[in-house]
Amino acid sequence: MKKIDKKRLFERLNNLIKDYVVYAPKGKDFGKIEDTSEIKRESINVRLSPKQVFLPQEEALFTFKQGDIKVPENNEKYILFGIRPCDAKAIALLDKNFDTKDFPDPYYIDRRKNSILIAEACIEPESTCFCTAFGSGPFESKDADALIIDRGDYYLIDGNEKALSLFDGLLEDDGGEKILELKKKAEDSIKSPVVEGIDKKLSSMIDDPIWDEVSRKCITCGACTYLCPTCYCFDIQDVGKDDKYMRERVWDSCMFTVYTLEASGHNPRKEKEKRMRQRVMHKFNYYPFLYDEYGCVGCGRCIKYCPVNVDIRKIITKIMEV
Amino acid sequence: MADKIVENIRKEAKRILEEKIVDIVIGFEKGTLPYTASPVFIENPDDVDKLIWNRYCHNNLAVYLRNFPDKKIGIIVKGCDSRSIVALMAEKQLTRENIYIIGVPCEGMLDKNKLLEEFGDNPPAEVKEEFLYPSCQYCEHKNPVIYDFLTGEPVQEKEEEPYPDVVEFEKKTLDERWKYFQEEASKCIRCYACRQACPMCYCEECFVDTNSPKWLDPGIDLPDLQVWHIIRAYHQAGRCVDCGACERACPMDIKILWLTRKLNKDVRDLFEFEIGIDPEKVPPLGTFSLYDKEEFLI
Amino acid sequence: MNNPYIPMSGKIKKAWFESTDRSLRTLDIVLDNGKMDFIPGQFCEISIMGKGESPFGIASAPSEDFLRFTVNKTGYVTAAIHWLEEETPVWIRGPLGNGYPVEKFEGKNIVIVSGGFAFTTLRSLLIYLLDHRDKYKDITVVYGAREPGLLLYREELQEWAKRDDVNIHLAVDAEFEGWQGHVGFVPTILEKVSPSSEDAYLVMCGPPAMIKFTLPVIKKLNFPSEKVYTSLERRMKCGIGKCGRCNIGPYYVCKDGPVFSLDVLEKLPKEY
Repeated sequence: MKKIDKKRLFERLNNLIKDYVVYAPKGKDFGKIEDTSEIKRESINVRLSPKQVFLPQEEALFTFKQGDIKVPENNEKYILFGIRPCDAKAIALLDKNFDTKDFPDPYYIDRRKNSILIAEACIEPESTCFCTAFGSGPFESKDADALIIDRGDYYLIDGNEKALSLFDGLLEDDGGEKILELKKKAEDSIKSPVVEGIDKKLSSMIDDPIWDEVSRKCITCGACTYLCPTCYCFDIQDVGKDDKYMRERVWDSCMFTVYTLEASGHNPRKEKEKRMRQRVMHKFNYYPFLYDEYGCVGCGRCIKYCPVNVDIRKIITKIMEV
Repeated sequence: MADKIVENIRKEAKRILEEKIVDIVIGFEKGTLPYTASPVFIENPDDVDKLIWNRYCHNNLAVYLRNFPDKKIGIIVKGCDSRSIVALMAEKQLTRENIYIIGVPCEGMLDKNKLLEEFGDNPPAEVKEEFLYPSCQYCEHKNPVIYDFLTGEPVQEKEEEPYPDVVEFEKKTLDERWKYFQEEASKCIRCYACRQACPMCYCEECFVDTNSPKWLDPGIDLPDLQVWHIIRAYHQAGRCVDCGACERACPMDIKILWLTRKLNKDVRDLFEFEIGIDPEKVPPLGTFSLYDKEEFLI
Repeated sequence: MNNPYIPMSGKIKKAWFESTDRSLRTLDIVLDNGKMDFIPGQFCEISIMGKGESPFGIASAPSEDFLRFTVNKTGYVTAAIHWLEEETPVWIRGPLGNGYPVEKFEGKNIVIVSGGFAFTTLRSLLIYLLDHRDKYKDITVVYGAREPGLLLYREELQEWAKRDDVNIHLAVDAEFEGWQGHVGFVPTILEKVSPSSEDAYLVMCGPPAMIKFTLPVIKKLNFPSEKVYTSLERRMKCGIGKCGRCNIGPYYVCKDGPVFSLDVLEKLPKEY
């Protein structure tokens, strides 16, 4: 591990803004910054997750004008500074859906391959955090290019060459500083539900009455899915008028009734318990089936921002008790 | 006081379930976060001890009433929730006989975000008016307007001007108002939590979800966001009970209450109408009268 | 990197109303840059720029010089497609999905069961089988519609009926003036025709009601679930297993389907 002075790191980051689009916590949310003075945290984690960098809520797939298709070009390079380890893991999970062998998604991959993720360890996790349920943790570094640990005037930093080279000349010896205790304290403060074997268990629970029970209070808005760092479902629609159109993709949510509504009026997931089942199954059964990993990182956003306090930890516990 | 209310709620819920007056009781249970209560659905009389009452029971439970078309429902309501029931009855969305209303006189609900900011996870010893949700600060109907059973003594209602915020807002210039609206609308992520939390937003097909005709493009272009919020508010004109559920549901903290409140005030001034008082009276925009004000016509 | 969201350009060579009630329109499309290689049962996304894309099963066979689609007017995009005239440019993405397992079918008896306008990809399959006639044993088709005018590709059906290397059984729901074929619902006719399940595969496409009542007949005829295939419809957008909306369990109808065997479907949520 190395040590880097905070002031000098921010100076360097300010210089890097010339060559990189830099995203960082900006108060409540995560966003593009023009200057490091904008970096500010209002809570442990940001509300709108970093997925917006690689999968913006709205983006053009192409424009269409007088018979010509034009695909927007993107050669930007990105630095995502101060994302949390859970969100870094969420990006690794998004990679699995978009960077596939059969149909690699060029829009996602173009941005992703030109990005550097600098995660910041959570010294004081929130009460809604449960990242440790999924083999991750508040100090997990493996999904980011670098991990920084806030030590007051300086950060401890560790990472790959790609990330560390950004800070060439600023890295000092860490003087043998130990973070084990800090890490353990953070990990111990997190109360995670047990999820062991939930994927297998869910396979036999398709028609279980639990879906009605756990979905009753849900008002089927899209807050949980839009704020979720791993939810990626989208819609494709044409917008524009006259002779100039744009085919764009926009976030969509499996919690919406119209999501699966067909033109004929038939809707395979009309009932809200089916939509709740879809959300839970996708994260805890389908994702493990397809990619051998859970589709949830335990960031707690869906818990924190749910208007009616649907708590996914409670749902997990209920499933485990069946 | 609160303890007595909880006891009364549980006793009455147990009775109506046991006597099969209702099949299900909609109330609140303890939430999983600080300053949070959460909607709960009780069918077994032995489960009534799950029911609670405190200053965090802010959800408008009337939003769930249409989810159980085949059931007799017991519901625990504050003043605003009771008005939603009346409003839904006025629009023929509910049958009074199918609902058993347990009314709770409400002293206003406390704003979770304000408390978290001020006190962290440790609840304050003393509750101040400024911790109330904005909708509760201006509330004119703290006591349920309709009920089968009242759990406590009615509380004192406010007498002063109910729209001081709107009056203040109307004083701003057009540019200022537009700028404010743009700033608020620009935060929208179109999760429709506002719509879903509202008992009056019960359309089978919302205008944003249709594609023939397509009223609105998808995505987060500011004009589209503004159109969403304007039309949503207009569809609520004179129908909104001002419970504030929309604003509280918003994960992006968008201030949207002033829009519906302004329209409510207009409807009150123009038609001397207030929704959610008389189930026989249809909202002015849902009916026609020869005496309707038509000042906008030349 | 190949961009899977970009459609190819083509032209409508022929367009006509397929059904007498004018709810179905058939388009024959030729791509500007050569032919498309595909397997019967695959589908394409047809674009109307400014309106959007919709998925349609390919009704033409790989041996034909055009891509054929029969479009039911149900919504926004399909209505726009109905307005398209001959010689209009169109945009197409495909082929998408898995298609029927025609190689697995080799050396076997094939039974095709269909109702109404779901016959589209089965036309593709049937012509494919006839194109490679020596590779397959008996071919039986049971196809019904409410009335004669709602059967797709009527002239071709008559031609196929004349052949002695394929058994075509056409049916309408009720007596109809001049109708010479079977009268009755598809499940009933299937039971009457009673094709042997021995050494056979059965392919079924039709409206939900037909499927529901045909399944018991298929069981009665002793077709094991793993030898029954059906093609599912769901609201598909990206067509490449990314956008998330068409999943049934962990499978995407657009990528892992639309063709599924019954034994796979039996283990999944009934979300179709």
